[in-house]
Amino acid sequence: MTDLSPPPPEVLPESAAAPPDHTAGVEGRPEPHKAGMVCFLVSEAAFFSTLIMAYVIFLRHGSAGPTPDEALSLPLVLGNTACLLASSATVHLAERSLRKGNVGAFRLLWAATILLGVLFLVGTAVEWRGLIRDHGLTIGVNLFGTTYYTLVGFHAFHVTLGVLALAAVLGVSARGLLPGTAPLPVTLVGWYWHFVDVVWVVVFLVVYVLGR
Amino acid sequence: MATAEIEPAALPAAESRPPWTAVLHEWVVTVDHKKIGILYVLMAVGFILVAGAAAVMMRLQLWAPNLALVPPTTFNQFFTLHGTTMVFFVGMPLLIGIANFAVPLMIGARDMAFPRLNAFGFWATLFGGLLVYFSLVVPGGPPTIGWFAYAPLTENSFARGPGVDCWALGLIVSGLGTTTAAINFIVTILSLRCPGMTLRKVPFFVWVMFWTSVQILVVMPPLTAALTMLEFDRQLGAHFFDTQAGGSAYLWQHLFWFFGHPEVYILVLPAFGMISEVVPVFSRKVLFGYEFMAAATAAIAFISLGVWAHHMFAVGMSRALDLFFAAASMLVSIPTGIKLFNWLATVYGGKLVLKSPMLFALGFLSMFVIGGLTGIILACAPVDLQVTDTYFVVGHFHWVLIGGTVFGIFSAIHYWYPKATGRMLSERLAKWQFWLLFLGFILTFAPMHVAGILGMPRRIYTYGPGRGWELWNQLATLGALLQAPSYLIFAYNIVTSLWKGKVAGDDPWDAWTLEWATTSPPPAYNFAVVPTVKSRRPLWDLKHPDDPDWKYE
Amino acid sequence: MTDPGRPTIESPKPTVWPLVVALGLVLAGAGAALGTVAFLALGGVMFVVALWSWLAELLPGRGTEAEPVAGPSPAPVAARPGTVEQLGPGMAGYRMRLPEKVYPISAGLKGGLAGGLAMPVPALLWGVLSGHGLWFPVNLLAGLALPGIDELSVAELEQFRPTLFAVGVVIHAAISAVVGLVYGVLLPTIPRSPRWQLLVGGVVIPLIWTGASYGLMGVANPVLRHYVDWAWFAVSQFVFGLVAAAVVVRSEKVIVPPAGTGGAAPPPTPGEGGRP
Ligand code: HEM
Ligand SMILES: [Cu+2]
Repeated sequence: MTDLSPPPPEVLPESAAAPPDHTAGVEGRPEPHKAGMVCFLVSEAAFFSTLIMAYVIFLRHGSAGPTPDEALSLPLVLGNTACLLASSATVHLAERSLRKGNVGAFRLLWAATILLGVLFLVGTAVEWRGLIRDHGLTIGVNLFGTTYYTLVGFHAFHVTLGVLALAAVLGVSARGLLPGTAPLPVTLVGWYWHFVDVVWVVVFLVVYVLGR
Repeated sequence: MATAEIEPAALPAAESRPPWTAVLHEWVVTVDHKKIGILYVLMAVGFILVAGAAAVMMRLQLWAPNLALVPPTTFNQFFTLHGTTMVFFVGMPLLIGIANFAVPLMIGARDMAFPRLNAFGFWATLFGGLLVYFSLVVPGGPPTIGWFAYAPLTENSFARGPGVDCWALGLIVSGLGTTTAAINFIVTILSLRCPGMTLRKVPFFVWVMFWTSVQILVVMPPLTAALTMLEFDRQLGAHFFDTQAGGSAYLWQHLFWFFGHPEVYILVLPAFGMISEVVPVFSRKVLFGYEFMAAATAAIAFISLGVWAHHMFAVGMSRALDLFFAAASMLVSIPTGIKLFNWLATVYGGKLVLKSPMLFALGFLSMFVIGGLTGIILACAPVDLQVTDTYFVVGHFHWVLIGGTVFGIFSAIHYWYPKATGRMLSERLAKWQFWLLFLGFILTFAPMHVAGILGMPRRIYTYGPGRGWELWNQLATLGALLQAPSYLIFAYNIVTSLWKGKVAGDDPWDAWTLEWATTSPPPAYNFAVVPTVKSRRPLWDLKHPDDPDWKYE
Repeated sequence: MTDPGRPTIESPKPTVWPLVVALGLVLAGAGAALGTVAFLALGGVMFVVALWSWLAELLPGRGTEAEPVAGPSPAPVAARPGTVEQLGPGMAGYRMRLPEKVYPISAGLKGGLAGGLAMPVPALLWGVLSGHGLWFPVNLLAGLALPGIDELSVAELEQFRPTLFAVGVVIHAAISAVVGLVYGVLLPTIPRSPRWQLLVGGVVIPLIWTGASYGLMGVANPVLRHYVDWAWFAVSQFVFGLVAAAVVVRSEKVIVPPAGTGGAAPPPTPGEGGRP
């Protein structure tokens, strides 16, 4: 411990200068947060695949109670779907505006995304109220209720998380804490949002189109 | 072996030692991958003693026919907790913990990619485990469902108390922790390797941890989904696995084993990696066939995703599925065999150094292969139908889990303990531990194969006399009693060596990977100067500048 | 001990929030298990607050601190030149014995396919001579992969069946190619003249194959086993073996440089095994 001399200049031949940060990577390697988000989305995909599998397996295993054909109606859901698809577009456009340096347009489009997400959630709530009140479909009533509410519910839960994340990014941006033209939080939350939308497309196809 | 003489490093003076509360606080709030790794290991050692005690109780109950030492329900609770704990709160935390400690050091990084997430992973695992054990004090006590929790035993109609809920929710939380750990490993390995370390030059253990993490990432979420469905059944009245309302017990088996089989490889692949570090260093030779080993690892990771239903031959799937899963299972033995021969080729002609890490590694090499062979026997569907759900299966999986995973882990702990603590473990105690474990393990689990072939079912709390099972059960119980002290010796050794052990120095084994280039224990930032490497064995290059590896890779 | 002049490294600050997030989750879990709303709520609140604080630490400059570079430095890794020596041919302990020249992979493939083309001649001849017809052997071969063949009658097995034909051809081609590849690898290891290689490839291996088939056919392909005529079976194997071996033996051998030498020097053996 008496050794206060600087560390040997070369632990190994041709040492690079110490990067400033503990996680600063080597050039050409994937950006850690982006790689992490991709991994996270892979795990989410595995999760949803399982729920979708369960839905498909139990499809038309109906005992008593409402069936998908009786209970599910398209118009409302088509509106919901339109909201989510449009929100994917607005997120994309928001990111583009930011890259061009147009912060105002970015915030506006980002807020529009949040609004569309909230609309989707409200639409889902209305749909569920109808299912419960008019069709008596609850999670415990039959296998359709079990799998339907689990799958669609988990998706809606992810939309909720997405809305919260979008809002957090907007708040941070409003406080001027998002420097640069492509800050990581924007990119990552954007990816997550696109992912949630893609999952919805699959859920929509499976539940409302093929499954009816 | 030419080990460099090492100056005993000065130790911090006793009076400057901070109060224990400060130390505790430091460990609780730490985000340092080395401390987190050590926390994982300590947690696992705690759980291994508890779950081991349950195992000894079960063995005592099975000593003779019709004993009434452990009542039936308690017996079921014991094997449920034992299996769950050993898989989720001993095996995985040990592997993830050791990797947490070693991987960043081996790739010349200063920490994991996401240090806070890393801390979360540990605490989620620990608290998840505690939630499972919380079932000890709830009405009805711990669940009686086995680690695989077959439906409909887990449904409200069969398990009325909250025990199953504690179990399922505990596993969900710890599963989240495991998933975050996997993400962390993948990103760390992809992004934080030091300059010059291409993916083809990573130490083999690092490569293996990458594929293990990929497996975790793909199979842990389905388990979480299945457990969530189970909780929906129990809490919200859903019917996924509720066979009385049209739900499917068969679906649970598919979902569980889709996770469960890759899980057994998640438990053994890291041990493969550890062995691949220890065997070359203690044979004084380079790892034989790195590229083949690397390809075999990836092959195992993929193939083992497609073999799960070999746990379900007795369910009565279709003949085509039986054929497919039997064939796919046997396929795994090809890359596994490649690995085994590569290790043997590494040992062959080497100058063996029979220190404790190598002893455990040789234990692994000799024992794991036997477990793999019984696995192939079981993968043969017609044979499996005869012995499924018997003690033959118990013999098989303990042979791979102890002969493979546990020996690999002990090898790794004896190898890296000096790096983690700056002190050497006692070789004398390690040898006692090894031989007690080795002999006790064989004595415990070899007779189980015979009992299984004689038809003894697994998961029974007792059995009638006159079926020829007594002898085999008694041998197994004796084996368990022989094995038990080895774990205690291990716990004693790792604690007392902290102050009694010889000072280790930076590089006690004359090894070749980057972790041995820094101090023992390493500073918080691991490397004051981030190293640059040119080959898979950077320290070899430095020690032998006249014959460096990078000339050949 | 820390010298103000010494460099520092930006490191993540210790934090308790990840722990609290996990604790919140588990408390909520315990609440759900026991049906205790208080636990559920407490866990939820802990989770939200801790996650919020955790995220706040991610803002630039909040969650990191400058860790001084302190404590003992690692001893430099000492070079020990001259402690390894390359093993070379002729030295004690040198074990590398590879055939210097080998057949190219294509030779094995060609041999296998040639053998595969020749082998049906005796096999089909047997079909015709035995009165079962041309398609009988083909259908029997397909039984190796397709379950349910055993339920077909002899008359049905004598007819042309497209699926069975396709499967049979694929099996035949695949096995021929694989065995041919094995020949390509194996035959150069047989010492002495090509005549010995022909003997091994054309007689010894077909004999072993016939013997193994005789033992295992009951498991692998019970139908074939039931109808097969072993003399003809053996003849087909000999034809295959002789043709395949002949093609392999006649092809040009090539020098394959061992891996890792850049294609020039004889294979070095890194390791300390040869240290005096
Ligand atoms: C060659 C590779 C292997 C094959 C072909 C194989 C095959 C099998 C089969 C068919 C079973 C089901 C037996 C039954 O329930 O009837 C089984 C059970 C099991 N195997 Fe393996 N195995 C292999 C390697 C491993 C490894 C490496 C591990 C873990 C490190 C492992 C752990 C287990 C466990 C834990 C079970 C029991 C699960 C349970 O029912 O509780 N196996 N194995
Ligand atoms: Cu398995």
